[in-house]
Amino acid sequence: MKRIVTIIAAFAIPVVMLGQTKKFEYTPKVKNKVEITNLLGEISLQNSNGNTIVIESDFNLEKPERADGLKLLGAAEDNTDLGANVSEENGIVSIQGATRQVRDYKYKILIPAGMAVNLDYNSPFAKSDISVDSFTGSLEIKTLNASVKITKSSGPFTINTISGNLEVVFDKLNQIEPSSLATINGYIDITMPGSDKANFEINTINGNIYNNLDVKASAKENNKDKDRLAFGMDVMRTKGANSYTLNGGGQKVFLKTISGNIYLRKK
Amino acid sequence: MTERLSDEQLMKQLAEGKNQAAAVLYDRYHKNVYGYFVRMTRDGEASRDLTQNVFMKVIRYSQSWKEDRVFAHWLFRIARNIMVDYFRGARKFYDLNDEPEISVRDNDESVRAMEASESFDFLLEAMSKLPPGYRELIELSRFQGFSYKEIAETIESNENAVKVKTFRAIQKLKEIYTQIIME
Amino acid sequence: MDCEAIKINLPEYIDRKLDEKTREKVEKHLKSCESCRALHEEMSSFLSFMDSLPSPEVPEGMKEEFTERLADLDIQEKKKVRVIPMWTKIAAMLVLAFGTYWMGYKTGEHKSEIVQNQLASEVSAQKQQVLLASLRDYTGPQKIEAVYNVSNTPNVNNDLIDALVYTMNSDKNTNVRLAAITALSGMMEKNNRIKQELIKSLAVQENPLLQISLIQVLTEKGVKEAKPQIESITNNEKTDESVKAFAKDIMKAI
Repeated sequence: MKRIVTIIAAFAIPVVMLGQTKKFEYTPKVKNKVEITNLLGEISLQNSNGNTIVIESDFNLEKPERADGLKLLGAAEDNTDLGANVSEENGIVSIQGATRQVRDYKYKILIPAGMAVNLDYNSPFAKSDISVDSFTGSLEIKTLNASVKITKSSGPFTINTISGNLEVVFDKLNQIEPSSLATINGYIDITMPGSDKANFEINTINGNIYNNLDVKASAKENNKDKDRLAFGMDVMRTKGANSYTLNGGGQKVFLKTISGNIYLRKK
Repeated sequence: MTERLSDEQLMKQLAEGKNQAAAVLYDRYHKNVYGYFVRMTRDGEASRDLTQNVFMKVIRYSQSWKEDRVFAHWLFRIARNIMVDYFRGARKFYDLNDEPEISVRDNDESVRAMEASESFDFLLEAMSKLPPGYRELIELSRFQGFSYKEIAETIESNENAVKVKTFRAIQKLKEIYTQIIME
Repeated sequence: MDCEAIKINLPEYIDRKLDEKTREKVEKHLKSCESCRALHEEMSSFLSFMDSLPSPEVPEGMKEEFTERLADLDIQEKKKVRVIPMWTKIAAMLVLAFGTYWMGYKTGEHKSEIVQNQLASEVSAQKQQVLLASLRDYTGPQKIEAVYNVSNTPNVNNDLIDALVYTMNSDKNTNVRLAAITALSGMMEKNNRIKQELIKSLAVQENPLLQISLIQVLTEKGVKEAKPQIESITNNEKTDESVKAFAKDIMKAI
């Protein structure tokens, strides 16, 4: 499936919920990790103030009268009234979509700062995109077609998608752990403060790298090898791996696309 | 290997990674634990699973075993927790159409046996109608042989409260049982 | 003692578990109090009826079932200690050492030697278990850091390669697997085994990103032996279109 890559400022709109919003709060016994699976609605992630996980949603399923007193049972039991199941075991809080219908609704999930999140959005049925804002903590996201937009966060992130676009606006780059962003058909657009330190490892096959950060190419062993494939081809294309340092080098940021472009922007 | 180790000594071994100590503890207590569940839940199949789970938990939590504890109390505390979870879950699947099995017998001896077992059935039914707190006191004091002091330690209460409540529990049970056999 | 106080002692009295002093008081009271005496009789017969309730028969096979589960547990625990490759110890040490290794690496001090020695010494079974348990909880970024550090150790021994291959083929996080592929491809010149493992990995991967990355790495390095494997992926119905398109393009160049 060929994707025409056009830059649309579609994500500028924050998640607006029409209709009644309901809330569910859960205080984890152990503040460690949150795993979100099967929640294929429109998700936005943020940090919460304090130690409670808050889920806000406009989930509204007409329950037949017969179902009075009963709870929705799908892949898991809906114990939040938001079409989701929240449970905790061995230091991991699980938020699972309880029913297919969650796809049509929006979910704003607030996570206590410092908790790591693993979001599995890897389904052809996932209709929407993911937005993350003002998030401190480790984030792992996997999608199929959905795009991911992250703003005002520092990482570390591992994000992989097949056709989605990845946009990250770092407020500063987390220096403790590396980030890795990978997409096949989409583009990667990174914004970072010009004064940040980083080590970019960029790998793209058919895409181009556009940049206005002050990066310096680092001489790496690989580049010494003759790229046999480049023989006779357009020499402007940088094939394979390219390493760049920003301000002398810092934590690693791995960026990989196959056909899409990579944009590096100064904040 | 022939000296008889105390429950607590076995737990110490288990905490050090000697899983076989769990087999000895299982030998000593699984019948009690099974009986506990059957009387509390009246479900043989479930009780089997619940019993196994109790002992798997004993192994899993063995790392947190403290030397000044009494094993039997700790064991039943685990059993209680498992039972509470069971009841929470079971409520979902309670089928109103469940009828207790009625077996038909022919001769005198089996009629007497049936009558005897019938009265035990009534007793179990009466137990199931007791409030859970009372049921537990009956279970621990009459069927598990715990002293009031031991019960107090297990359920984190004081001896006098246990004494008074257990008496009331027995009274209540008798009352309910009498009601059932009168019907 | 009044009736109320006597009554609550009846169960223990009936069981003959009362201390001497209280027992005497109860006995004395019972002699003179008819209602308490009646209660004592009722309770006595009821309690002995209760005591005669037979213990339910333990169902067949319960003990055997438990013994089996116990044996499984033993095997699992032993397996964990054996199968997990050594590099994960390095990763654990790295992360658990509160960044000391990284610090040393960055400032150029030879702290790496200290880490090697730590590994050389025996880690007790329990410590290993703790390490292994905590490893399961590592996040994607942490594992990528570990992969990166491992691939930069000066001596690439088989254990390290094992570890990276294991990560490439089994880690739950695609980005981590990608990091392992990158690391291994960087070491391909030094080791022929790595070439084989990368080719083998082609058959294992299902994620298009990883398939493409492997094909890319193998073709860039001119690994002709990879051709049949790449072809079979192209011909496989289940393969994603983007992988097929990429493979077709790149095959022309080999």
